[in-house]
Amino acid sequence: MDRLVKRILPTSIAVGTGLLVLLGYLLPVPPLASVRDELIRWAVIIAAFAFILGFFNLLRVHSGRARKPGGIYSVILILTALTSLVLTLAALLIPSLRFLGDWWFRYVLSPLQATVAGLIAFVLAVAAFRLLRHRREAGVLVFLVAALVVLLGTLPLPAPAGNWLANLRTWWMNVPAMAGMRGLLIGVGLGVLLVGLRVLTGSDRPYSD
Amino acid sequence: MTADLIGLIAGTLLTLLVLSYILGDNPLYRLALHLLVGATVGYGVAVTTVTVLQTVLPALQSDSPRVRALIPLVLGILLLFKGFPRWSAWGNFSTALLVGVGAAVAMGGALVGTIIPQIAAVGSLNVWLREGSAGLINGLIVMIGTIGALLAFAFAVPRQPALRRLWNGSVGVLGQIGRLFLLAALGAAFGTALTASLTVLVGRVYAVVMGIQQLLTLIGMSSG
Amino acid sequence: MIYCPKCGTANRQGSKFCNECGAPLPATGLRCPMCGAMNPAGNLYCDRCSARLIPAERVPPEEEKPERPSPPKGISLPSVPLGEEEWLSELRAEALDLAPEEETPGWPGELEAPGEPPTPETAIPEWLAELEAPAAPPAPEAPPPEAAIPEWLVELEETVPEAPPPAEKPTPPLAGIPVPPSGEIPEWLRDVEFAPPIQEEPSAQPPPVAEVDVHAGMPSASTTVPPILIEGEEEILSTAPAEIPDWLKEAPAEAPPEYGGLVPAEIPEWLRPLQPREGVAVEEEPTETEGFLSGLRGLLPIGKGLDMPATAQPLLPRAPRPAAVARAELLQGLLSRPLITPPTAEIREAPRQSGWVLTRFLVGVILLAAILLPMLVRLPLFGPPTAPTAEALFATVNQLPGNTPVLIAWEYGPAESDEMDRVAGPLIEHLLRREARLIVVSTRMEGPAAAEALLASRLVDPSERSRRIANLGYLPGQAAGVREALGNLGGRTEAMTGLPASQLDIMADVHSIADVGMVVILAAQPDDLKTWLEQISVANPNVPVVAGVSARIELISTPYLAAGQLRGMVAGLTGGAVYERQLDTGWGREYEYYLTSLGMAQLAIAALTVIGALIFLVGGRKR
Repeated sequence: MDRLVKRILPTSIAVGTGLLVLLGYLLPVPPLASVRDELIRWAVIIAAFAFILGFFNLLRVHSGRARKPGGIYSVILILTALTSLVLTLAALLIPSLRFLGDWWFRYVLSPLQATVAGLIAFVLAVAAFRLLRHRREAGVLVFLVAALVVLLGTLPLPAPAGNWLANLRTWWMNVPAMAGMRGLLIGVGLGVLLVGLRVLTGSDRPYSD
Repeated sequence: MTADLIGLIAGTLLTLLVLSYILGDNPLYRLALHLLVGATVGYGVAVTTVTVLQTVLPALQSDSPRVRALIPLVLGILLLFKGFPRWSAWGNFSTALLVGVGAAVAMGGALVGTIIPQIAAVGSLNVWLREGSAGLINGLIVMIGTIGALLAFAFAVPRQPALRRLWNGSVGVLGQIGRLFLLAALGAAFGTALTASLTVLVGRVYAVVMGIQQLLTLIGMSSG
Repeated sequence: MIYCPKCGTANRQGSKFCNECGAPLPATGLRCPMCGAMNPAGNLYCDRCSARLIPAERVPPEEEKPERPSPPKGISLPSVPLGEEEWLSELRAEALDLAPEEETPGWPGELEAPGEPPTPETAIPEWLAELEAPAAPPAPEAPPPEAAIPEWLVELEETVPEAPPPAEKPTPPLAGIPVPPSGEIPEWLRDVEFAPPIQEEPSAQPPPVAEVDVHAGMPSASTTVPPILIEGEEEILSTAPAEIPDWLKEAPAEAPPEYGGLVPAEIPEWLRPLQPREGVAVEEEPTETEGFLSGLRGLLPIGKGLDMPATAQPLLPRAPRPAAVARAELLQGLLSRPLITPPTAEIREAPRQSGWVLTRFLVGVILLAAILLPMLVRLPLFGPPTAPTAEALFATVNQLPGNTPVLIAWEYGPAESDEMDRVAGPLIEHLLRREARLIVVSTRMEGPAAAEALLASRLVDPSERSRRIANLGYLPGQAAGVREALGNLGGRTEAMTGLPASQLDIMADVHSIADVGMVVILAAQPDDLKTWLEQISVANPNVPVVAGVSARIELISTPYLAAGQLRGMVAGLTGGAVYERQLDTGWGREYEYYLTSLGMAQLAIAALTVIGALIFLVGGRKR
């Protein structure tokens, strides 16, 4: 029974649903297509619950940390999370309270998210400075040149050097860089196929122990 | 107006808290990060919950068989059991469905949406031909670069020495060339990522400056 | 002190043989993983090449901060190699396929979908995702915390406990790894999650995967050194060690595994930084034991790092999995020592800190100065930006018939809105001018709210909103959500009014993507663009798709644009500025300020890069 619950059933579900969806793609006849769409619909709803699960787990982990030294941050996190949850729920469910959610989004969430994203520039700048610190070989120079071409060609400096750089950047992005990126895209796509096939044959089972 | 004022102060303060990272990791920055995590996750759960309600409730009330709405709901609740180690196995069904459907959807998309069109594009030189001889050269470069980039990840080598030499000569060399193209791509990607993040940083700095300006104006007005 | 690997007795530093049992003691040096030189045991950095000898905690390669030893999880590490307990050597002896220390993803991204299921795409390790994104090896697309990885933040990012401890079962989740004879698995190891080992042959060739040989020359019962790639150590990778230790030479030479006549080759050094963290070498294809293919081999090869470990991944936000044997050794050594009080969350500044602090402070000041300067002084340094793709897109949209339903995938939130609002804004306004009906969806949770903010600013007459715009809210489930929405637009609910979409006038004749006249993807992350493009190709390849993208994914959009899957693209602030200029809305002045600041900042970074390159090229490696 244990084995049934833990292994056989989940594997059958994964393989079965996956094959049904694939079949629905290959033969989009009404019965198969509607089964496919239904399964996808279910997956979407379950995926939403996954996020909710993550939320509860976050709360649990941090409530455990709250008692330890340095736990004040965890307390703050929990309080903020609950505040955010309540305010946003209220705003979404009760039209007259919409302004609360707007305020929170505009003056708390947005500045925090945006500024952290902006700090990435700072980190990348330091990285660029230290690029040659430890790895010195031809490949890194190509990398460096590529980065410089893109940086200097984005905004046109005064002519004639500026125009030349801008044209160089356009060529770089459309020819060598695109070639490499295309190779990567195809490679990643093949990887996705491979992994998917392994899931659909039951060889890989990330969903069970 | 007061709400906006408070908001302005709060927003500017929070921005500065995060920017303090430039000076190094410090308690203010950590505070800001914890606030961010909490606020984002709380917001996300609220949005997700409302979305689920909006999807499931109408389906429960509609004419079509209730089962269609109940099954995903039950599976979703089962998924929550994953949070409890004792019963986490019951969440396996939901995870299995997610993985199975997700794999199929991803596979279909990857094949039809990326692999086939991109491989087709590699060989189609006529687009480049339109731009004359320079275009043809560019097209060839792209073709060689794409194939090389793919082969740069081929590591298995034939065993027999003769074949191995041939392999190293052909695939190996192409792989090395492809590696250069990969680096060209990654370097360019680094540059563009820098551009994007810099744009955001510029926006943030402007926001802080303008926020402080506004606050000073308001203080000046109120005290004047 | 050196601890005898056999009997555990502490011996004096420098001893060659154990005083108690006479067993040979491990060499009292640390082998440098970069150049292979032997260093005195107390060193943190190699005397010859200045590489780090003791792995740091998850330091991304470009942000390596060698001056600050960062202990994993707050436990201070001795910098001296410790004696090996028996169980440890057995651990090493078995060819471990250690579960990858999952690189903590950019955690705002993680927060957006902490519970996303391990679909194949999310299961693709970070290194591969990094490759396709503009997160080059030296510069992962990581938020600043990853640079420092202070211990408290690692804990913060770790939003799940390390695998649900199997409290009920005595069987550890260490399938395939031999239980030490004593039967005592240390508590902390029990919780560690290992992927089932993949049979690894001792290959006669040097270990293809880089090995951080912190305990160089330690004689162990093993005949092979399991490849270990400690997380974050992309930089500290080595080719085969300069001297092959005796115990390795004595290994029975087994034939390299065969796979269709091919043998694994050595992974070239340049690629090691890009390697997956699992440390899975090119090895024999394992026999499938599960599923339909059980008993077969090599049919569906496990790609380099592309395979998913066949254990349950926590569905929850991925936590770092401490599985590295070397760390196990260090921690075990710590446990066998007298109690050391772990430091608090405070970061201890090592004496070498000053150079690092100065660097980042200077960089920060230079950046800020470059950005602020145009606000104070008018700098006509840059010419008007050019973006042919934006101009082409403008022409395309200009030909859109009136009243066309346009589906907009709003894949950005506040984190990117400083840039994306200026990319999307002109495009949206143009669409509104063309009398298009805008149907907005988003797989990002903050997407719908961000959309509302921008739409409100660009809509000339607010009363027109219900006639022109339908915000159909958030789509959970990534690719599956996109697929579902494409097939069933009418089944959604309008975010502002709460009405079912089918009841909206604007959606009267729009039920699925087949009824849509154009799709606009506004994306800032590569996965979002790819997902939408791929699913649209499956659902309805004939609908024209255009994109407004962040500069970050300009490069990844280019192949799609060249292949015709995208009919037009506006990328980055420059593209947005060009589009705005074509539209002539009067917002141009704002763009000018932004562009000048951006240009100055980019110039500054270009200069910093060149100066840094020259310094490190000419001045030699710094300690």
